[in-house]
Amino acid sequence: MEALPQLIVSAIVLGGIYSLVSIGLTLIFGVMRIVNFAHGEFLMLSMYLAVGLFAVAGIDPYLGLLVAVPASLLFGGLIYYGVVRPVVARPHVVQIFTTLGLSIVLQNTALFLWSGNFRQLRLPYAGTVLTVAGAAVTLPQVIAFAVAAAFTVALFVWLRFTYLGKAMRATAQDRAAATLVGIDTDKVLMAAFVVGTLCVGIAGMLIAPLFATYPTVGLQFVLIAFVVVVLGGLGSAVGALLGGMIVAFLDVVGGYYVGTAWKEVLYFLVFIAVLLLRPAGLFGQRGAEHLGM
Amino acid sequence: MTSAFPSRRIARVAVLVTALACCAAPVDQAVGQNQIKIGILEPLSGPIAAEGRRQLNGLEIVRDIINERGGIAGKQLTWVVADAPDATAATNEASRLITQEGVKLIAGTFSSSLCLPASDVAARNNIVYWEVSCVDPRFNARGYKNVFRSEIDANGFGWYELEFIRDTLHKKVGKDLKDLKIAFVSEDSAYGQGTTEAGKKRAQDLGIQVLSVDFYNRNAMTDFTPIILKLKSTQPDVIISASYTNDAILFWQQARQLDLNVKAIVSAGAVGFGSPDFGKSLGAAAEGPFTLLEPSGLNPKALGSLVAGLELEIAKRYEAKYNERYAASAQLGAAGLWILAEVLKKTGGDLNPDKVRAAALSLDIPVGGTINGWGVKFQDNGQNAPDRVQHYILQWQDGKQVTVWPERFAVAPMRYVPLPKWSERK
Amino acid sequence: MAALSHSAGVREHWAAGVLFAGALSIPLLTDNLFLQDALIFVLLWAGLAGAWNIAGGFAGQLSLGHAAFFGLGAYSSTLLKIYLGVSPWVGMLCGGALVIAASSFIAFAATRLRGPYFALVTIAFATVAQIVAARWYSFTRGNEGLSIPFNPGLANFMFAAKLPWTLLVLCYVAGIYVLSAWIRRSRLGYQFAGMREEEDAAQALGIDTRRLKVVAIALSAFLTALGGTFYAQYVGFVDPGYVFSIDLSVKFALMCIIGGMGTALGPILGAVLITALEIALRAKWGGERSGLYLIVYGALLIVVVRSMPEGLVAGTAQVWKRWRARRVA
Repeated sequence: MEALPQLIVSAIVLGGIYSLVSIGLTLIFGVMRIVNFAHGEFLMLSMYLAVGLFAVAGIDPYLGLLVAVPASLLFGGLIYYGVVRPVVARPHVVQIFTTLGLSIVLQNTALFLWSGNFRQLRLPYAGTVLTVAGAAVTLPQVIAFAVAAAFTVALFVWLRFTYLGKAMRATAQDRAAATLVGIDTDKVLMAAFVVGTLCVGIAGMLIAPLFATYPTVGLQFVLIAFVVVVLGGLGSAVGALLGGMIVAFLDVVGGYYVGTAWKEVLYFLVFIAVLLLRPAGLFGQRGAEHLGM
Repeated sequence: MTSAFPSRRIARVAVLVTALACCAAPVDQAVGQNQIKIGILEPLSGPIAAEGRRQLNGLEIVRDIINERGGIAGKQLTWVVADAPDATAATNEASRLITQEGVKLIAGTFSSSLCLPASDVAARNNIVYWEVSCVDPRFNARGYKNVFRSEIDANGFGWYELEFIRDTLHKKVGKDLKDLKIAFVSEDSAYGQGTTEAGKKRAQDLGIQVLSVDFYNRNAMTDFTPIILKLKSTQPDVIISASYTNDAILFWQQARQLDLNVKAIVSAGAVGFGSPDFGKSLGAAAEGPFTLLEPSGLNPKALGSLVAGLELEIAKRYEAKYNERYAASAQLGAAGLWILAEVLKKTGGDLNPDKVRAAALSLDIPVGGTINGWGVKFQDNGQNAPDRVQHYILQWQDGKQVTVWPERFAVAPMRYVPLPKWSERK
Repeated sequence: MAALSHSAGVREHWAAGVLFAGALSIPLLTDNLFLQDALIFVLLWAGLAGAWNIAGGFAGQLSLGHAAFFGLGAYSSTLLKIYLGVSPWVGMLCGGALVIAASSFIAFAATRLRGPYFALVTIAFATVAQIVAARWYSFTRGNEGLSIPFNPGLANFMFAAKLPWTLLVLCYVAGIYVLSAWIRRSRLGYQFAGMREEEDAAQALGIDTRRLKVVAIALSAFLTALGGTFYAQYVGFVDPGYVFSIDLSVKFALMCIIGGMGTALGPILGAVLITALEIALRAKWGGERSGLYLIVYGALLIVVVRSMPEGLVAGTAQVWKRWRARRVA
């Protein structure tokens, strides 16, 4: 069997997953300029929600989105008011360590409550394999990809055409200027955080059928999410999608030709190159790294 | 930029200073006359917390049984548990157990990166270190007199896997050794590397063709497509896997997705394919893989009746108390502690290193004579002789892992050789 | 940023002197293995935090990848010893040289990056170093790590008793303290401070911020690498998963922040507190339900970093000032 079609299709599907996981981060990082080190843990909690709903009530994670959406919004709001808002105007150092502390708390709360065991949400149709362009994909993978694509488009439209979306983009570009033109940046920051949390909440539900759930699963995804976000450019939904695709291609296709042992070096080197040569990434604001404040 | 509440700051400082004071204050070191107190060091937090916890559970069940049966030389066995998520913690906690808790023997530790530094501390302070499960080959190669390990090392794992292939599997697959093609797929931590290197070496010694050796980082594997595609084109008969659990689950799911069919897959150890979580996560798809592990059920005819009864007892209690199958790392802990108890019975409960060493080296139990069907014969370097530490191949059948090899210990015949093609599975 | 007055600076030196004397007295007065071991770690982390402080606290370069330098130092001396039999003392300096080269490159190339971007690039470098060490099995034994045989002797950088280790690490910390205190009052220190507070303004004044960054980071990295060698020799075991880990990088920065980033004493105080806290929490709750002590640790981190952003030195100084003011009134 010719390897290339499978590699490409697998990479595309994985790219969709990576971008889904990273979209929330790009919003938060882009608009708030806060590096949310707890991003992986938000994803982990959402995966546990999916596993829990399925184990206890037999609810499919796709149906479970109806629960995940309000839960994520609520969770995002709570974390914002309780943990993030007090440090929004503080030095980077304080912000970084606040989210790091949050990450430690969430990881170990999961460990404490649910033990370190590995749980796999096993859908009855998880084994259904579809053939697309000579490559095999499973149904949950297709659904995750479809939702990722649809969600990115929806987010892009929302950012482009709604007031709040435009306000967010403005705040991402230049917070001081945004305040000057009358945008309530306070509300925008909160909205960015909450919407970002919603994105990662949805992502977790969709990838729960694909990967095992355990307290440190966030570690598998958080660094990748940062690579995607930097590559794609802060605050850009399309950037997250493209960045996700690029990283996934390096991962899968690179992994095939270079070997899985060294593939991470591939995308980290790309990451470093982007940071050193074009920190704004593909679609980010040029000079964004100067607006570090 | 000052906080408006200086009292909060003072409170903060006070809390932290108190914490300092707490850690400096030695705990009451008096041990009851009727007690033997040891230290237990396991990773209870961090990435391997699940297996560390299981090992501790196994230790607890055996301790309870020992104590109910009169303890060791009439004294009850008690312990202090310490968490060691990394090497620094392992060093610190080992020191703390020795100094603040006053233990004279430390047991543990599951992971190679913990057992080496912790046992260093123990050895240099003349404390006995009793390792029940870490597999680093260097553990007993450092010249220490008071460092013991009841389980074999990673070299032994690799060796046994190939022994299974040599003794039985290749015949069931229907190929001569020299015609057999195998591939290694391995995570790259100390456990994976050690097992795989040892297996590869033995395979080459046996004249078996090794088609490929693929290492990967289990925290960075979100897609096994590259490896699986390569295997599909090279078509090995048997895959030898060394994995942790999240990657084993992903690998096997994707093998189904991409229709990778091999005649058999063999792995080693209490994680990955051998973990109870594997079966729970994959249901019917988990049928068939072989794992080198502690036995799950042993043919009572191969054991002394004493041990057979004991095995059943431990399994029953474990499942009742922890609500999961007694397996893997728990079994390693159980066997290790039982053997330690045998040694301490000989010393009359004395933890003096020279006495413990003499007693340990004097034990001579044949295979089948103690828990897990193991035997005991400690070599001069403190390592339990590999040919006594009988290992078994278990196979996932009907949602459980059952012992299928060596045949005289088996509780069920081998099935699924060759593994049914994915398209034929329900 | 906290700016201590001259008299406060003198008070700081007195406090440091007391701390060092106290540290020295512990191995002389007690046999307690655990205390001595804990002390050595505290002092080591204090030195490493002080090293980070030069780049992070003084020059404002928030690196979360200092473990790269720590690990490179640890591996350099260890590999040189294992393959070429070179004394770890020499190996330590070789590691230092290597690290100066690497860190200078990073600082030079990343000069445009501020805040979280800079942090991310440092994380990436440390991660690449970790991957290379983990995958280059034939050279580094990969994730199995390297074990250093116990062979006491001065030339071997290995001691059987605790006292020599304590003395050595005390020199390390004291040296870094003195260096930090000197930098703070020197022209270099003022330039660092200017760059830290307002980089664009500093550039406008004609300060070569790129050169400053290279100096700050290279010095900081060199001192960190020294600590890496000490760690390798003391614990006797290095593996990529630990010595290059982001947990370590975070730890160095955290101790500085808790103690007070802009001062020489701050990192030492921070190291004392964080290590004591870790040990105490793990001792109390480590054996219980998994993860409990870390939940407490993380929560404390969030609260402390928020309510005492200046760190303990400045925070305590302010408390002291208030108390004195009240007494006078």
